[in-house]
Amino acid sequence: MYKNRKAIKALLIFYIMILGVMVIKEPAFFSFQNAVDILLNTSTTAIAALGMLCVLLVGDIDVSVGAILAACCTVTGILAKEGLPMVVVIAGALAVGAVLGTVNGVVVTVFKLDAIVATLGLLSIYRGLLIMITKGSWINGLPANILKIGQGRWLNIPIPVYIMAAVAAVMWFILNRTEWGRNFYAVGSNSDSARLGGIHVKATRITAFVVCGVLVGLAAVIYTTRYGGIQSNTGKGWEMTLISSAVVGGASTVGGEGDVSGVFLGALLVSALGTLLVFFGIDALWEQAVQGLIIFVSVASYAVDFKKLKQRLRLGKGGAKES
Amino acid sequence: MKKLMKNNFFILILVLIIVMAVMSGMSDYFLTADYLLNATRFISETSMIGLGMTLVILTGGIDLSVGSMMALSSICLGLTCQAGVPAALAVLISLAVGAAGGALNGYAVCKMNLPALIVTLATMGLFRGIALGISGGSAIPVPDALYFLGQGNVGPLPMQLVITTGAYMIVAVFIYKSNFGVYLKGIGYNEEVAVFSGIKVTWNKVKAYMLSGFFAALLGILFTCRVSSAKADYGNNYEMDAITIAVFGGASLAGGKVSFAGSYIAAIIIVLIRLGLTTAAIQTEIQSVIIGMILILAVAFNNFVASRKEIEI
Repeated sequence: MYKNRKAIKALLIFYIMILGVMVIKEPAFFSFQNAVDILLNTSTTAIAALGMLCVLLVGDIDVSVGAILAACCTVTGILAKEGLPMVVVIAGALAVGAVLGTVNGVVVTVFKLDAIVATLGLLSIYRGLLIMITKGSWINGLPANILKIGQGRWLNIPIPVYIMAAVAAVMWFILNRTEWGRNFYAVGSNSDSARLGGIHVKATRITAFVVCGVLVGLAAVIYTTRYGGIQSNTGKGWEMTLISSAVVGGASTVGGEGDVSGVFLGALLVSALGTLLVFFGIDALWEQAVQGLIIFVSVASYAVDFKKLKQRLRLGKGGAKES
Repeated sequence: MKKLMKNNFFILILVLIIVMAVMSGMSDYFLTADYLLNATRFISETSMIGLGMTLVILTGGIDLSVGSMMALSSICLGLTCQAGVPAALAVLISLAVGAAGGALNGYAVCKMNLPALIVTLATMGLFRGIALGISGGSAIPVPDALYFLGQGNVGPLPMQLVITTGAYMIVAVFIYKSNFGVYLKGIGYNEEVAVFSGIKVTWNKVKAYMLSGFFAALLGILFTCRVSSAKADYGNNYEMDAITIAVFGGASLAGGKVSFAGSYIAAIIIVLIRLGLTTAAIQTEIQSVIIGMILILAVAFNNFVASRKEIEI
């Protein structure tokens, strides 16, 4: 928890710094429209990053999320074009997400594979199968009623922002106030003691993957309806965006650490980066470099205190270094 | 030879023979000297990226930044050549950039005690971002004088094959015959114990990451010289290939156990499968499904063998 608080504090300081610079440099940044746009851009990333958070919490990682997004987007597109009711379309996308998440969870836990290697392999399998099924064609021309999910507004705020807020609230409740959510932390902190404490470790890990898949499915519905069309290579490299959002927000890749507010702030930073660069007058080509740098610096800054702690304990590490 | 047998080496050879047999059945061109010699260019490139990854995995880490480093070194080569730096010096600068990038990874992983996955994820974005930024996203031609590195031959053998095989041999000699290998292995098996045994854990790990960056940069140079221009999108997803090769070759991601011969053979198998499927006009999508399955089955198989061994003991 400690590291996570630190991450949130660092992020808040960073936001205040950016906002301070913006006040002087570009007052146009502070418009209602701009704030809403940034939140809209954050919505898909934040929703899915909360799913990634669950997987990270139990100490696993899922790098196949980009392919799951593409699959769920395709399903959304196909079902919507069939003219099915909105509920069925959403249920279909979530179901596909849940199924792929289950596959990930089962392969990782039952076959006892490293999560990164297993999901890496599954990533290329999903992508290959998806393109074989869709023949690589693009999906366009979705019916207008379904596009309302991504493009509609209520009280001048886009619907995806409400969905994001609802998901964040639900996830906060689950992770902090239910036994189910606390099990994620328990398994990630120490799976042996969790098992001895009566938690079904494998089931918990699979659940985390399923939650991740479902949330990616929800993000896919928003993604599809927001842009109104899907390319077959949707979500390429998206796993990096999600993992960075979670990690910048203080989630640990070894499990047991991270929370909803941190991940939300992390996702906000990662997805607002493009907008910020425009306001700072930096070429969009540098976006990836700045993103990498921010992840690097933020993760390194969270580590500083651990280092001090280690120095105090020392365990003979210093002796080995000087010899 | 005993060392080789331990690491699933025979199974890999068997798979290689099966792949060769199937491929030669599928296409008449396959078993010709021309085709195979040409194929070694691609094989060498893929095995080069696996070499650095194998070293890092030996220490129990992982390096996702290799593909991006390849692009960055390619762009460095292109830009320094364009700026009028002599070709030989430009190559050295690119290699130094690779080693420096690797040192940055190693420093963050060892000194700051950060997870390798996250550090190299960040530098993966950082390196490719820098490559994109400084090149402006456009292709940069390299001088003709450097073409021999990517297109030339040593006798009948392609340049890449000679360089990569040489690199593998040198690394294997250092790993199997010098203290460096013992240190890395010790660190991979149990870092705490390595510390208490008086091994300079930090420095040895940083060396492994530096070598990984160096080999990625070397690959960047070879690749650039083969296709005659530098571009920032080279090496996309190569980290996936590298991990697949190392794991397929018998490495355990927990550290302490890798096989360089295994990685080399694994690279040959994977490239041959890809080339063979392409020659047989099978869609790239099916190829990606097959490669993904190979990766998962290889890890599952490694785990199975490992668990069997535990029972025997």
